[in-house]
Amino acid sequence: MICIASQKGGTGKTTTTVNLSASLALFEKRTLVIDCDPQGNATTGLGIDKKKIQWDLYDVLLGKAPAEKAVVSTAMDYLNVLPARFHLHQMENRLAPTSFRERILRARLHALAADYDFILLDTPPSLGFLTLNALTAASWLIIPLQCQLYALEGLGQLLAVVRKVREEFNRELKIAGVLLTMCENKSARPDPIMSQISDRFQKKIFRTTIPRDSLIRDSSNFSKPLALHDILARGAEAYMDLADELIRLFQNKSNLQQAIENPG
Amino acid sequence: MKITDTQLIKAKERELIRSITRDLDWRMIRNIFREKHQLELGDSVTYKHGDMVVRNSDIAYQLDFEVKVSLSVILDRAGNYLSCATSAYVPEPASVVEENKGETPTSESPTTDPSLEPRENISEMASQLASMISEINEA
Repeated sequence: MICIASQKGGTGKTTTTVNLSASLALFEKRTLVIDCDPQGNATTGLGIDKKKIQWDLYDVLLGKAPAEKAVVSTAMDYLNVLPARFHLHQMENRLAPTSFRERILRARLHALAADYDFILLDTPPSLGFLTLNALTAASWLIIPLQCQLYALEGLGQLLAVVRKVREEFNRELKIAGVLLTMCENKSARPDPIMSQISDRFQKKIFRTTIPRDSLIRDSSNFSKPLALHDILARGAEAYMDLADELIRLFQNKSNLQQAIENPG
Repeated sequence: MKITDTQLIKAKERELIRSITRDLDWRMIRNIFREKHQLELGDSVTYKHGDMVVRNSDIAYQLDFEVKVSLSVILDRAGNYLSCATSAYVPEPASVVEENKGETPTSESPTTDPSLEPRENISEMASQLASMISEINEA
């Protein structure tokens, strides 16, 4: 289960969730998107009409519907979504008196884990209750970071929250990597400061970077991932590369774990 | 048996040294000192001497400067020495946690040095954030 989170808005969280999930599905990995953002943009971006759904994450968190019943299919064979609608923003107040309120998403999603190869959690652009729940439910975190000079500001707050979540709610949570988004053309001279950031982060940064591609925005207007709009677009190609990198990363970790558990 | 003027050679060598000194990339030198020696060079840098030397059987140029370096000495309330650090020293993650105990969460955020250029600050911040990620993943 992978949480895609950033303390800032406009870094490419939802775009990454939508396009990475579609790319994983194209690799025939059973993929589920859980939309934890009351704006529900990931839901819309995957072509789901919010007016036509019966249940959403709000109902699941309140226990009105089991998670598996709230999951809806998308236009892609290997891709499902647990949608969100605006009333999800009321959740923090509704659950305020509840103990273990940070663990409620984790508890509700537990039954779904076995049905999917990848579960991606899209989060709102804040470090509030819903993001805290998503971090508590996830095993891994991807941090989208916009390619610009001041992108790092505030990242420390997110990492401090990750540290707190690890200490108090979820020891398993680790950082899969930082993903550089909205980067200028690869052929252009690389920005020296971004090169310095890449040097400092070393293996903590994904090899794949997401280019600034107007087609990504265009595809979201059509409520579909870019790969379904124009598979040859630079942005679509980048997200396919990212999916490939992610699959290999977890395959390597899985192999390593097996080697540790079964030496010789 | 002299075949040219000694003073001319010395004058031209001094001119060469002066020319090299003038064109030094101080931003790069500051980065080298910060990264390799954990020293933050102050504003006052005075040229002392320059000379041609031999390094690894090749001609090299040695330029000597005097610089101001900020140094922090930390001692406890009983007067015992605790540590000594330059302004460019970035503490190891473990010592950051130790120093932050009992403080507000905001103290866990990477700090920036107001005396640095924005780009230098970003680079320093990136190092601190990378350390935080390592600490989280390796805990």
